[in-house]
Amino acid sequence: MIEAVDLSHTYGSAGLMPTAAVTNVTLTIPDNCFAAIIGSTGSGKTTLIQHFNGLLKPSSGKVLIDGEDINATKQTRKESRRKVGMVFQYPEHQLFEETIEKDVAFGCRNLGLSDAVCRDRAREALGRVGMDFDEFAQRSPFELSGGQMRRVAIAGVLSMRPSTLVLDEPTAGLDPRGRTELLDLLDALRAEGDTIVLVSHSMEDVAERAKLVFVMHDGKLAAQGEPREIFMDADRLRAVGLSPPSMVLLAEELAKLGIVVPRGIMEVDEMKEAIITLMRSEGGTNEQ
Amino acid sequence: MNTLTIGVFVPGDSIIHRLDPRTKLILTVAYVALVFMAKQVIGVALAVSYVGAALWMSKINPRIVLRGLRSLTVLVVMTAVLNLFLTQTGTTLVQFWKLRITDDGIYLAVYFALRLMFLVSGTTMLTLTTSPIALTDALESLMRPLKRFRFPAHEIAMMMSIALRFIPTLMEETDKIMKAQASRGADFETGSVWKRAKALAPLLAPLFISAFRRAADLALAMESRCYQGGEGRTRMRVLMYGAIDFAAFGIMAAMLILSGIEAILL
Ligand SMILES: Nc1ncnc2c1ncn2[C@@H]1O[C@H](COP(=O)(O)OP(=O)(O)OP(=O)(O)O)[C@@H](O)[C@H]1O
Ligand SMILES: [Mg+2]
Repeated sequence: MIEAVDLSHTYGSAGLMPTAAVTNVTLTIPDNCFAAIIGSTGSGKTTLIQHFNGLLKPSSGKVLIDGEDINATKQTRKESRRKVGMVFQYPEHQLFEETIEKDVAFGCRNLGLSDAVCRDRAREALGRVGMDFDEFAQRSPFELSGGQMRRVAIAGVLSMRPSTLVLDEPTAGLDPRGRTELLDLLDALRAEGDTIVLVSHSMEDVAERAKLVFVMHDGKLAAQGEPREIFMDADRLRAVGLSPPSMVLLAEELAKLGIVVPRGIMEVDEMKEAIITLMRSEGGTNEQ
Repeated sequence: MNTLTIGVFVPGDSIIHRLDPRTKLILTVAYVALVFMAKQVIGVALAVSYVGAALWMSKINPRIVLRGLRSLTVLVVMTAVLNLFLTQTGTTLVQFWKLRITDDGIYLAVYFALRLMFLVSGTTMLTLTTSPIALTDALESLMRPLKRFRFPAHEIAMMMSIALRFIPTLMEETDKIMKAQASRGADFETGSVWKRAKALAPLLAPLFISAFRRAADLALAMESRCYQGGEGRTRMRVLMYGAIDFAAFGIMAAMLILSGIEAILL
Protein backbone atom coordinates (compact mmCIF):
# COMPACT_ATOMS: atom_id res chain seq x y z
CA MET A 1 0.00 0.00 0.00
CA ILE A 2 1.32 3.41 -0.96
CA GLU A 3 0.15 6.45 0.93
CA ALA A 4 0.93 10.10 0.42
CA VAL A 5 0.14 12.25 3.43
CA ASP A 6 -0.21 15.98 2.88
CA LEU A 7 2.58 15.76 0.34
CA SER A 8 4.01 18.94 -1.20
CA HIS A 9 6.97 19.45 -3.46
CA THR A 10 8.55 22.71 -4.57
CA TYR A 11 11.27 22.85 -7.20
CA GLY A 12 13.96 25.50 -7.06
CA SER A 13 14.44 27.74 -4.08
CA ALA A 14 13.68 31.24 -2.84
CA GLY A 15 14.79 34.01 -5.16
CA LEU A 16 15.20 31.72 -8.14
CA MET A 17 11.68 31.12 -9.37
CA PRO A 18 10.38 28.40 -7.04
CA THR A 19 7.64 26.23 -8.58
CA ALA A 20 5.14 24.46 -6.38
CA ALA A 21 4.67 21.30 -8.46
CA VAL A 22 2.65 19.28 -5.94
CA THR A 23 0.58 20.82 -3.17
CA ASN A 24 -0.93 19.03 -0.16
CA VAL A 25 -1.76 15.76 -1.85
CA THR A 26 -3.17 13.01 0.32
CA LEU A 27 -3.99 9.72 -1.32
CA THR A 28 -3.93 5.98 -0.76
CA ILE A 29 -3.22 3.33 -3.36
CA PRO A 30 -4.34 -0.03 -1.97
CA ASP A 31 -2.42 -3.25 -2.62
CA ASN A 32 -3.15 -5.15 -5.80
CA CYS A 33 -5.00 -2.21 -7.31
CA PHE A 34 -4.78 -0.92 -10.86
CA ALA A 35 -4.64 2.80 -10.20
CA ALA A 36 -4.27 5.59 -12.73
CA ILE A 37 -3.15 9.19 -12.37
CA ILE A 38 -4.41 11.61 -14.98
CA GLY A 39 -4.08 15.35 -15.41
CA SER A 40 -3.21 17.91 -18.02
CA THR A 41 0.41 18.60 -18.85
CA GLY A 42 2.31 20.26 -16.01
CA SER A 43 -0.25 19.21 -13.40
CA GLY A 44 2.38 17.46 -11.28
CA LYS A 45 1.89 13.79 -12.12
CA THR A 46 5.54 12.99 -12.74
CA THR A 47 6.61 14.92 -9.67
CA LEU A 48 4.07 13.07 -7.56
CA ILE A 49 5.06 9.56 -8.62
CA GLN A 50 8.78 10.24 -8.22
CA HIS A 51 8.08 10.42 -4.50
CA PHE A 52 6.80 6.84 -4.45
CA ASN A 53 10.30 5.36 -4.52
CA GLY A 54 12.16 8.18 -2.87
CA LEU A 55 13.64 9.76 -6.02
CA LEU A 56 12.33 13.09 -4.82
CA LYS A 57 12.10 14.08 -1.20
CA PRO A 58 8.91 15.84 -0.15
CA SER A 59 9.24 19.53 0.70
CA SER A 60 6.64 18.74 3.33
CA GLY A 61 4.45 15.76 4.13
CA LYS A 62 5.20 12.07 3.98
CA VAL A 63 5.16 9.03 1.77
CA LEU A 64 4.38 5.70 3.40
CA ILE A 65 4.78 2.26 1.95
CA ASP A 66 2.98 -0.40 3.96
CA GLY A 67 2.74 2.14 6.73
CA GLU A 68 6.45 2.91 6.87
CA ASP A 69 7.88 6.34 6.10
CA ILE A 70 10.20 5.76 3.15
CA ASN A 71 12.32 8.82 3.87
CA ALA A 72 13.05 7.79 7.45
CA THR A 73 16.55 6.42 6.74
CA LYS A 74 18.80 5.62 3.82
CA GLN A 75 17.85 1.99 4.31
CA THR A 76 14.12 2.60 3.98
CA ARG A 77 14.68 4.64 0.85
CA LYS A 78 16.70 1.84 -0.68
CA GLU A 79 14.03 -0.61 0.34
CA SER A 80 11.40 1.51 -1.42
CA ARG A 81 13.39 1.28 -4.66
CA ARG A 82 13.15 -2.47 -4.43
CA LYS A 83 9.46 -2.55 -3.66
CA VAL A 84 8.39 0.06 -6.16
CA GLY A 85 9.58 -0.32 -9.74
CA MET A 86 9.54 2.88 -11.77
CA VAL A 87 9.21 2.95 -15.53
CA PHE A 88 9.98 6.41 -16.83
CA GLN A 89 8.59 8.07 -19.91
CA TYR A 90 10.58 6.83 -22.90
CA PRO A 91 12.36 4.21 -20.77
CA GLU A 92 14.30 3.07 -23.85
CA HIS A 93 16.60 6.06 -23.23
CA GLN A 94 18.02 4.39 -20.13
CA LEU A 95 19.48 1.36 -21.93
CA PHE A 96 23.28 1.22 -21.79
CA GLU A 97 24.71 -2.30 -21.65
CA GLU A 98 26.34 -4.20 -24.51
CA THR A 99 23.80 -6.99 -24.46
CA ILE A 100 20.12 -7.12 -23.73
CA GLU A 101 20.63 -9.76 -21.07
CA LYS A 102 23.09 -7.60 -19.16
CA ASP A 103 20.84 -4.59 -19.37
CA VAL A 104 17.79 -6.44 -18.12
CA ALA A 105 19.81 -7.98 -15.29
CA PHE A 106 21.29 -4.62 -14.22
CA GLY A 107 18.65 -3.96 -11.56
CA CYS A 108 18.82 -7.53 -10.33
CA ARG A 109 22.60 -7.38 -9.97
CA ASN A 110 22.28 -4.14 -8.03
CA LEU A 111 20.21 -6.08 -5.52
CA GLY A 112 23.30 -8.20 -4.94
CA LEU A 113 21.88 -11.38 -6.41
CA SER A 114 24.02 -14.00 -8.10
CA ASP A 115 24.60 -14.14 -11.86
CA ALA A 116 22.65 -17.38 -12.15
CA VAL A 117 19.60 -15.94 -10.41
CA CYS A 118 19.80 -12.76 -12.47
CA ARG A 119 20.02 -14.76 -15.66
CA ASP A 120 16.86 -16.62 -14.75
CA ARG A 121 15.14 -13.41 -13.86
CA ALA A 122 16.23 -11.79 -17.11
CA ARG A 123 14.84 -14.75 -19.02
CA GLU A 124 11.58 -14.54 -17.15
CA ALA A 125 11.30 -10.74 -17.47
CA LEU A 126 11.99 -10.80 -21.20
CA GLY A 127 9.39 -13.53 -21.57
CA ARG A 128 6.85 -11.38 -19.77
CA VAL A 129 7.27 -8.53 -22.23
CA GLY A 130 6.96 -10.95 -25.12
CA MET A 131 10.60 -11.18 -26.17
CA ASP A 132 12.32 -14.48 -26.72
CA PHE A 133 15.36 -14.81 -24.44
CA ASP A 134 17.37 -17.14 -26.66
CA GLU A 135 16.88 -14.95 -29.68
CA PHE A 136 17.63 -11.61 -28.08
CA ALA A 137 19.76 -12.12 -24.96
CA GLN A 138 23.14 -11.63 -26.62
CA ARG A 139 22.15 -8.88 -29.01
CA SER A 140 22.83 -5.20 -28.46
CA PRO A 141 19.83 -3.26 -27.18
CA PHE A 142 20.64 -0.52 -29.67
CA GLU A 143 19.86 -2.70 -32.68
CA LEU A 144 16.22 -2.98 -31.71
CA SER A 145 13.21 -1.04 -32.91
CA GLY A 146 11.84 1.64 -30.60
CA GLY A 147 8.97 -0.54 -29.41
CA GLN A 148 11.30 -3.48 -28.69
CA MET A 149 13.68 -1.21 -26.82
CA ARG A 150 10.85 -0.09 -24.63
CA ARG A 151 9.96 -3.68 -23.82
CA VAL A 152 13.54 -4.44 -22.88
CA ALA A 153 13.61 -1.37 -20.64
CA ILE A 154 10.43 -2.47 -18.91
CA ALA A 155 11.87 -5.97 -18.50
CA GLY A 156 14.86 -4.27 -16.85
CA VAL A 157 12.53 -2.96 -14.16
CA LEU A 158 10.61 -6.24 -13.84
CA SER A 159 13.85 -8.15 -13.19
CA MET A 160 13.94 -6.55 -9.74
CA ARG A 161 10.54 -8.13 -9.04
CA PRO A 162 8.92 -5.04 -7.53
CA SER A 163 5.55 -5.57 -5.91
CA THR A 164 4.36 -2.22 -7.24
CA LEU A 165 4.98 -0.97 -10.75
CA VAL A 166 4.69 2.75 -11.48
CA LEU A 167 4.68 3.73 -15.14
CA ASP A 168 4.92 7.27 -16.52
CA GLU A 169 3.05 7.39 -19.82
CA PRO A 170 4.32 4.01 -20.96
CA THR A 171 2.18 3.91 -24.10
CA ALA A 172 3.39 7.23 -25.53
CA GLY A 173 4.59 6.67 -29.08
CA LEU A 174 3.54 3.02 -29.32
CA ASP A 175 1.38 1.68 -32.13
CA PRO A 176 -2.15 0.50 -31.19
CA ARG A 177 -1.05 -3.12 -30.98
CA GLY A 178 1.97 -2.33 -28.82
CA ARG A 179 -0.29 -0.30 -26.62
CA THR A 180 -2.80 -3.10 -26.12
CA GLU A 181 -0.02 -5.60 -25.45
CA LEU A 182 1.53 -3.37 -22.82
CA LEU A 183 -1.78 -2.77 -21.09
CA ASP A 184 -2.48 -6.51 -21.18
CA LEU A 185 0.88 -7.11 -19.51
CA LEU A 186 -0.06 -4.66 -16.76
CA ASP A 187 -3.39 -6.43 -16.30
CA ALA A 188 -1.62 -9.78 -16.06
CA LEU A 189 0.88 -8.46 -13.49
CA ARG A 190 -1.97 -7.12 -11.44
CA ALA A 191 -3.80 -10.44 -11.63
CA GLU A 192 -0.69 -12.04 -10.12
CA GLY A 193 -0.83 -9.73 -7.15
CA ASP A 194 1.16 -6.67 -8.19
CA THR A 195 -0.01 -3.11 -7.72
CA ILE A 196 -0.02 -0.95 -10.85
CA VAL A 197 0.12 2.83 -10.94
CA LEU A 198 -0.30 4.20 -14.44
CA VAL A 199 0.24 7.82 -15.40
CA SER A 200 -1.49 8.41 -18.69
CA HIS A 201 -2.72 11.04 -21.08
CA SER A 202 -4.96 8.51 -22.76
CA MET A 203 -8.39 8.65 -21.17
CA GLU A 204 -9.35 5.54 -23.15
CA ASP A 205 -6.52 3.47 -21.63
CA VAL A 206 -7.47 4.59 -18.17
CA ALA A 207 -11.20 4.14 -18.67
CA GLU A 208 -10.63 0.62 -19.95
CA ARG A 209 -8.17 -0.69 -17.40
CA ALA A 210 -7.99 1.27 -14.19
CA LYS A 211 -10.06 0.54 -11.10
CA LEU A 212 -9.14 3.72 -9.26
CA VAL A 213 -8.43 7.10 -10.83
CA PHE A 214 -6.72 10.15 -9.36
CA VAL A 215 -7.10 13.46 -11.16
CA MET A 216 -4.32 16.01 -10.73
CA HIS A 217 -4.82 19.67 -11.52
CA ASP A 218 -2.33 22.46 -10.83
CA GLY A 219 -0.41 20.30 -8.38
CA LYS A 220 -3.49 19.43 -6.37
CA LEU A 221 -5.55 16.28 -6.22
CA ALA A 222 -8.75 17.45 -7.94
CA ALA A 223 -10.76 14.25 -7.73
CA GLN A 224 -10.48 10.53 -7.11
CA GLY A 225 -12.78 7.61 -7.60
CA GLU A 226 -13.81 4.83 -9.93
CA PRO A 227 -13.28 5.53 -13.62
CA ARG A 228 -16.99 5.63 -14.35
CA GLU A 229 -17.63 8.26 -11.70
CA ILE A 230 -14.69 10.32 -12.87
CA PHE A 231 -15.34 10.12 -16.59
CA MET A 232 -19.08 10.59 -16.46
CA ASP A 233 -18.55 14.13 -15.22
CA ALA A 234 -17.47 15.55 -18.56
CA ASP A 235 -17.70 19.15 -17.38
CA ARG A 236 -15.41 18.60 -14.43
CA LEU A 237 -12.90 16.88 -16.71
CA ARG A 238 -12.92 19.85 -19.05
CA ALA A 239 -12.49 22.19 -16.09
CA VAL A 240 -9.18 20.47 -15.26
CA GLY A 241 -8.03 20.61 -18.87
CA LEU A 242 -8.79 17.03 -19.90
CA SER A 243 -11.01 15.79 -22.66
CA PRO A 244 -13.41 12.99 -21.71
CA PRO A 245 -12.93 9.53 -23.24
CA SER A 246 -14.40 9.01 -26.71
CA MET A 247 -17.40 6.99 -25.52
CA VAL A 248 -18.46 9.78 -23.18
CA LEU A 249 -18.08 12.28 -26.02
CA LEU A 250 -20.15 10.02 -28.27
CA ALA A 251 -22.87 9.79 -25.63
CA GLU A 252 -22.86 13.59 -25.42
CA GLU A 253 -23.21 13.99 -29.17
CA LEU A 254 -26.00 11.41 -29.28
CA ALA A 255 -27.79 13.23 -26.49
CA LYS A 256 -27.74 16.41 -28.62
CA LEU A 257 -29.59 14.46 -31.30
CA GLY A 258 -32.13 13.34 -28.74
CA ILE A 259 -30.78 9.82 -28.42
CA VAL A 260 -30.17 9.13 -24.77
CA VAL A 261 -27.95 6.15 -23.99
CA PRO A 262 -27.38 5.08 -20.37
CA ARG A 263 -24.67 7.12 -18.63
CA GLY A 264 -21.26 5.78 -17.80
CA ILE A 265 -20.55 3.56 -20.79
CA MET A 266 -16.81 3.33 -21.37
CA GLU A 267 -16.28 0.51 -23.83
CA VAL A 268 -17.04 0.36 -27.53
CA ASP A 269 -18.87 -2.97 -27.35
CA GLU A 270 -21.01 -1.85 -24.48
CA MET A 271 -21.91 1.31 -26.40
CA LYS A 272 -22.77 -0.72 -29.48
CA GLU A 273 -25.13 -2.93 -27.49
CA ALA A 274 -26.77 0.05 -25.86
CA ILE A 275 -27.35 1.76 -29.22
CA ILE A 276 -28.70 -1.42 -30.76
CA THR A 277 -31.06 -1.92 -27.85
CA LEU A 278 -32.20 1.66 -28.15
CA MET A 279 -32.76 1.42 -31.89
CA ARG A 280 -34.74 -1.78 -31.47
CA SER A 281 -37.05 -0.23 -28.93
CA GLU A 282 -37.34 3.00 -30.95
CA GLY A 283 -37.93 1.04 -34.11
CA GLY A 284 -40.73 -0.70 -32.23
CA THR A 285 -42.38 2.57 -31.26
CA ASN A 286 -42.09 3.97 -34.78
CA GLU A 287 -43.98 1.04 -36.27
CA GLN A 288 -46.94 1.48 -34.01
CA MET B 1 22.14 22.04 -9.30
CA ASN B 2 19.86 24.51 -7.58
CA THR B 3 22.73 26.54 -6.19
CA LEU B 4 24.24 27.23 -9.58
CA THR B 5 23.50 30.89 -10.21
CA ILE B 6 26.55 31.84 -12.22
CA GLY B 7 25.41 31.83 -15.82
CA VAL B 8 21.71 31.76 -15.09
CA PHE B 9 19.57 34.25 -16.98
CA VAL B 10 16.77 35.99 -15.08
CA PRO B 11 14.34 37.49 -17.60
CA GLY B 12 13.15 41.02 -16.99
CA ASP B 13 12.34 44.36 -18.54
CA SER B 14 14.70 46.71 -16.73
CA ILE B 15 17.00 49.30 -18.28
CA ILE B 16 19.88 46.90 -17.91
CA HIS B 17 17.95 44.15 -19.64
CA ARG B 18 17.20 46.51 -22.50
CA LEU B 19 20.79 47.61 -23.03
CA ASP B 20 22.24 46.32 -26.28
CA PRO B 21 23.98 43.02 -25.51
CA ARG B 22 27.13 44.32 -27.23
CA THR B 23 27.16 47.26 -24.85
CA LYS B 24 26.90 44.95 -21.88
CA LEU B 25 29.66 42.75 -23.22
CA ILE B 26 32.01 45.68 -23.81
CA LEU B 27 31.08 47.20 -20.47
CA THR B 28 31.87 43.94 -18.73
CA VAL B 29 35.28 43.76 -20.37
CA ALA B 30 35.91 47.36 -19.34
CA TYR B 31 34.73 46.55 -15.83
CA VAL B 32 37.20 43.68 -15.60
CA ALA B 33 39.96 46.10 -16.62
CA LEU B 34 38.70 48.50 -13.98
CA VAL B 35 38.87 45.88 -11.27
CA PHE B 36 42.41 44.94 -12.29
CA MET B 37 43.50 48.57 -12.25
CA ALA B 38 41.89 49.32 -8.90
CA LYS B 39 44.50 49.61 -6.20
CA GLN B 40 43.10 52.19 -3.85
CA VAL B 41 39.92 53.74 -2.57
CA ILE B 42 38.67 55.29 -5.80
CA GLY B 43 39.05 52.07 -7.79
CA VAL B 44 37.18 50.07 -5.19
CA ALA B 45 34.49 52.73 -4.92
CA LEU B 46 34.02 52.65 -8.69
CA ALA B 47 33.73 48.86 -8.74
CA VAL B 48 31.22 48.94 -5.89
CA SER B 49 29.15 51.57 -7.62
CA TYR B 50 29.23 49.65 -10.92
CA VAL B 51 27.89 46.45 -9.33
CA GLY B 52 25.51 48.33 -7.04
CA ALA B 53 24.06 50.46 -9.83
CA ALA B 54 23.72 47.52 -12.21
CA LEU B 55 22.02 45.44 -9.51
CA TRP B 56 19.67 48.23 -8.50
CA MET B 57 18.67 49.17 -12.04
CA SER B 58 18.23 45.55 -13.13
CA LYS B 59 15.73 44.93 -10.28
CA ILE B 60 17.31 41.53 -9.73
CA ASN B 61 17.04 40.01 -6.27
CA PRO B 62 20.46 40.64 -4.67
CA ARG B 63 20.18 37.27 -2.97
CA ILE B 64 20.80 35.61 -6.33
CA VAL B 65 24.15 37.38 -6.65
CA LEU B 66 24.98 36.68 -3.02
CA ARG B 67 24.27 33.01 -3.53
CA GLY B 68 26.59 33.03 -6.53
CA LEU B 69 29.28 34.52 -4.31
CA ARG B 70 28.62 32.01 -1.58
CA SER B 71 29.45 29.17 -3.94
CA LEU B 72 32.91 30.78 -4.23
CA THR B 73 33.54 30.85 -0.50
CA VAL B 74 36.20 28.16 -0.58
CA LEU B 75 38.09 29.82 -3.41
CA VAL B 76 37.98 33.27 -1.79
CA VAL B 77 39.06 31.98 1.62
CA MET B 78 41.91 29.98 0.07
CA THR B 79 43.14 32.99 -1.85
CA ALA B 80 43.04 35.15 1.25
CA VAL B 81 44.77 32.60 3.50
CA LEU B 82 47.54 31.91 0.99
CA ASN B 83 48.25 35.59 0.53
CA LEU B 84 48.16 36.16 4.25
CA PHE B 85 50.81 33.58 5.04
CA LEU B 86 52.95 33.63 1.93
CA THR B 87 53.56 37.36 1.90
CA GLN B 88 56.74 37.95 3.89
CA THR B 89 57.46 41.57 3.01
CA GLY B 90 56.45 44.55 5.11
CA THR B 91 56.47 44.94 8.88
CA THR B 92 55.67 41.91 10.97
CA LEU B 93 52.52 42.26 13.02
CA VAL B 94 52.16 38.81 14.52
CA GLN B 95 54.62 35.96 14.62
CA PHE B 96 54.01 32.48 15.87
CA TRP B 97 56.53 29.75 15.22
CA LYS B 98 57.72 30.27 11.64
CA LEU B 99 54.59 31.96 10.35
CA ARG B 100 54.69 35.70 10.05
CA ILE B 101 51.72 37.89 9.34
CA THR B 102 52.76 41.22 7.89
CA ASP B 103 50.83 44.35 7.04
CA ASP B 104 51.52 43.68 3.36
CA GLY B 105 50.08 40.20 3.80
CA ILE B 106 46.84 41.52 5.26
CA TYR B 107 46.59 44.09 2.51
CA LEU B 108 47.11 41.52 -0.24
CA ALA B 109 44.73 38.99 1.35
CA VAL B 110 41.91 41.51 1.48
CA TYR B 111 42.85 42.88 -1.92
CA PHE B 112 42.76 39.55 -3.75
CA ALA B 113 39.65 38.32 -1.97
CA LEU B 114 37.81 41.51 -2.86
CA ARG B 115 39.07 41.44 -6.42
CA LEU B 116 37.79 37.93 -6.91
CA MET B 117 34.38 38.76 -5.48
CA PHE B 118 34.12 41.89 -7.60
CA LEU B 119 35.09 40.04 -10.73
CA VAL B 120 32.45 37.39 -10.20
CA SER B 121 29.62 39.64 -9.08
CA GLY B 122 30.23 42.12 -11.92
CA THR B 123 30.42 39.50 -14.62
CA THR B 124 27.36 37.64 -13.32
CA MET B 125 25.44 40.88 -13.87
CA LEU B 126 26.03 40.30 -17.57
CA THR B 127 24.72 36.74 -17.64
CA LEU B 128 21.88 37.48 -15.22
CA THR B 129 20.47 40.19 -17.48
CA THR B 130 21.35 38.93 -20.96
CA SER B 131 19.79 35.89 -22.59
CA PRO B 132 22.30 33.41 -24.00
CA ILE B 133 20.94 34.05 -27.49
CA ALA B 134 21.47 37.79 -27.19
CA LEU B 135 24.95 37.16 -25.86
CA THR B 136 25.98 35.04 -28.82
CA ASP B 137 24.42 37.55 -31.22
CA ALA B 138 26.55 40.20 -29.58
CA LEU B 139 29.68 38.07 -29.81
CA GLU B 140 29.09 37.39 -33.47
CA SER B 141 28.55 41.03 -34.20
CA LEU B 142 31.66 42.10 -32.28
CA MET B 143 33.79 39.40 -33.91
CA ARG B 144 32.62 40.28 -37.42
CA PRO B 145 35.61 42.50 -38.24
CA LEU B 146 37.84 39.46 -37.65
CA LYS B 147 36.22 37.77 -40.63
CA ARG B 148 38.68 39.58 -42.82
CA PHE B 149 41.34 37.33 -41.33
CA ARG B 150 39.30 34.22 -42.15
CA PHE B 151 38.08 33.99 -38.58
CA PRO B 152 34.82 31.91 -38.58
CA ALA B 153 32.82 34.37 -36.48
CA HIS B 154 29.39 33.16 -37.53
CA GLU B 155 30.23 29.50 -37.11
CA ILE B 156 31.66 30.02 -33.65
CA ALA B 157 28.66 32.05 -32.57
CA MET B 158 26.32 29.41 -33.98
CA MET B 159 28.15 26.64 -32.14
CA MET B 160 28.02 28.63 -28.93
CA SER B 161 24.33 29.28 -29.21
CA ILE B 162 23.63 25.62 -29.93
CA ALA B 163 25.76 24.59 -26.96
CA LEU B 164 23.99 27.07 -24.71
CA ARG B 165 20.63 25.97 -26.01
CA PHE B 166 21.35 22.34 -25.14
CA ILE B 167 22.80 22.81 -21.67
CA PRO B 168 19.38 22.81 -19.96
CA THR B 169 18.23 19.91 -22.13
CA LEU B 170 21.24 17.85 -21.21
CA MET B 171 20.88 18.72 -17.55
CA GLU B 172 17.26 17.63 -17.67
CA GLU B 173 18.26 14.45 -19.44
CA THR B 174 21.02 13.73 -16.93
CA ASP B 175 18.54 14.16 -14.13
CA LYS B 176 16.06 11.84 -15.78
CA ILE B 177 18.57 9.09 -16.55
CA MET B 178 20.07 9.32 -13.08
CA LYS B 179 16.63 8.84 -11.60
CA ALA B 180 15.83 5.98 -13.96
CA GLN B 181 19.05 4.13 -13.09
CA ALA B 182 18.63 4.89 -9.39
CA SER B 183 15.21 3.26 -9.67
CA ARG B 184 17.04 0.18 -10.93
CA GLY B 185 19.18 0.22 -7.83
CA ALA B 186 22.18 2.10 -9.24
CA ASP B 187 24.16 3.92 -6.57
CA PHE B 188 26.04 7.04 -7.64
CA GLU B 189 26.95 8.29 -4.22
CA THR B 190 28.70 5.67 -2.15
CA GLY B 191 31.66 3.37 -2.59
CA SER B 192 35.30 3.78 -3.56
CA VAL B 193 36.44 6.14 -6.30
CA TRP B 194 36.82 3.21 -8.69
CA LYS B 195 33.35 1.93 -7.88
CA ARG B 196 31.86 5.34 -8.33
CA ALA B 197 33.62 5.84 -11.65
CA LYS B 198 32.25 2.53 -12.82
CA ALA B 199 28.79 3.52 -11.63
CA LEU B 200 28.91 6.39 -14.12
CA ALA B 201 28.68 4.10 -17.15
CA PRO B 202 24.92 3.60 -16.84
CA LEU B 203 24.62 7.39 -16.79
CA LEU B 204 27.15 8.43 -19.41
CA ALA B 205 26.38 5.84 -22.06
CA PRO B 206 22.71 6.81 -22.48
CA LEU B 207 23.65 10.49 -22.24
CA PHE B 208 26.14 10.26 -25.09
CA ILE B 209 23.77 8.24 -27.21
CA SER B 210 21.05 10.79 -26.77
CA ALA B 211 23.44 13.70 -27.40
CA PHE B 212 24.50 12.15 -30.71
CA ARG B 213 20.90 11.44 -31.63
CA ARG B 214 20.00 15.05 -30.91
CA ALA B 215 22.95 16.32 -32.89
CA ALA B 216 21.95 14.23 -35.89
CA ASP B 217 18.34 15.37 -35.63
CA LEU B 218 19.37 19.00 -35.34
CA ALA B 219 21.72 18.79 -38.31
CA LEU B 220 18.97 17.27 -40.39
CA ALA B 221 16.48 19.90 -39.28
CA MET B 222 18.93 22.71 -40.10
CA GLU B 223 19.75 21.27 -43.47
CA SER B 224 16.13 20.74 -44.39
CA ARG B 225 15.64 24.44 -43.75
CA CYS B 226 18.49 25.23 -46.11
CA TYR B 227 21.01 26.36 -43.51
CA GLN B 228 24.28 27.12 -45.30
CA GLY B 229 26.29 29.05 -42.78
CA GLY B 230 26.52 32.78 -42.31
CA GLU B 231 26.83 33.94 -45.93
CA GLY B 232 23.94 36.20 -46.92
CA ARG B 233 21.95 35.39 -43.82
CA THR B 234 19.64 38.10 -42.50
CA ARG B 235 18.57 38.34 -38.88
CA MET B 236 15.26 38.57 -37.15
CA ARG B 237 16.58 40.72 -34.31
CA VAL B 238 18.87 43.42 -35.62
CA LEU B 239 21.14 44.84 -32.96
CA MET B 240 21.07 48.63 -32.71
CA TYR B 241 22.73 50.98 -30.26
CA GLY B 242 20.36 53.46 -28.63
CA ALA B 243 20.67 56.48 -26.36
CA ILE B 244 21.04 54.39 -23.19
CA ASP B 245 23.92 52.50 -24.75
CA PHE B 246 25.83 55.68 -25.48
CA ALA B 247 25.09 56.93 -21.98
CA ALA B 248 26.44 53.70 -20.55
CA PHE B 249 29.58 53.91 -22.69
CA GLY B 250 30.09 57.51 -21.55
CA ILE B 251 29.81 56.65 -17.88
CA MET B 252 32.15 53.68 -18.28
CA ALA B 253 34.72 55.83 -20.08
CA ALA B 254 34.59 58.36 -17.26
CA MET B 255 35.07 55.60 -14.69
CA LEU B 256 38.05 54.21 -16.58
CA ILE B 257 39.68 57.63 -16.89
CA LEU B 258 39.12 58.31 -13.22
CA SER B 259 40.72 55.07 -12.11
CA GLY B 260 43.50 55.59 -14.68
CA ILE B 261 44.31 58.95 -13.12
CA GLU B 262 44.37 57.35 -9.68
CA ALA B 263 46.71 54.64 -10.92
CA ILE B 264 49.08 57.18 -12.48
CA LEU B 265 49.12 59.50 -9.49
CA LEU B 266 50.12 56.69 -7.15
N1 LIG C 1 13.21 19.54 -12.49
C1 LIG C 1 12.32 20.54 -12.41
N2 LIG C 1 12.73 21.77 -12.01
C2 LIG C 1 11.85 22.79 -11.91
N3 LIG C 1 10.55 22.69 -12.18
C3 LIG C 1 10.07 21.49 -12.59
C4 LIG C 1 10.94 20.36 -12.72
N4 LIG C 1 10.19 19.31 -13.13
C5 LIG C 1 8.92 19.77 -13.26
N5 LIG C 1 8.84 21.07 -12.93
C6 LIG C 1 7.61 21.90 -12.91
O1 LIG C 1 6.69 21.29 -12.03
C7 LIG C 1 5.38 21.30 -12.57
C8 LIG C 1 4.84 19.89 -12.64
O2 LIG C 1 5.62 19.14 -13.55
P1 LIG C 1 5.40 17.59 -13.80
O3 LIG C 1 6.50 17.15 -14.68
O4 LIG C 1 5.24 16.89 -12.51
O5 LIG C 1 4.02 17.58 -14.60
P2 LIG C 1 3.31 16.38 -15.36
O6 LIG C 1 1.93 16.35 -14.84
O7 LIG C 1 4.13 15.15 -15.26
O8 LIG C 1 3.30 16.92 -16.86
P3 LIG C 1 3.35 16.08 -18.23
O9 LIG C 1 1.98 15.55 -18.44
O10 LIG C 1 3.70 17.14 -19.23
O11 LIG C 1 4.41 15.04 -18.09
C9 LIG C 1 5.50 21.99 -13.93
O12 LIG C 1 5.09 23.33 -13.75
C10 LIG C 1 6.95 21.92 -14.26
O13 LIG C 1 7.33 23.06 -14.99
MG1 LIG D 1 5.15 13.93 -16.74
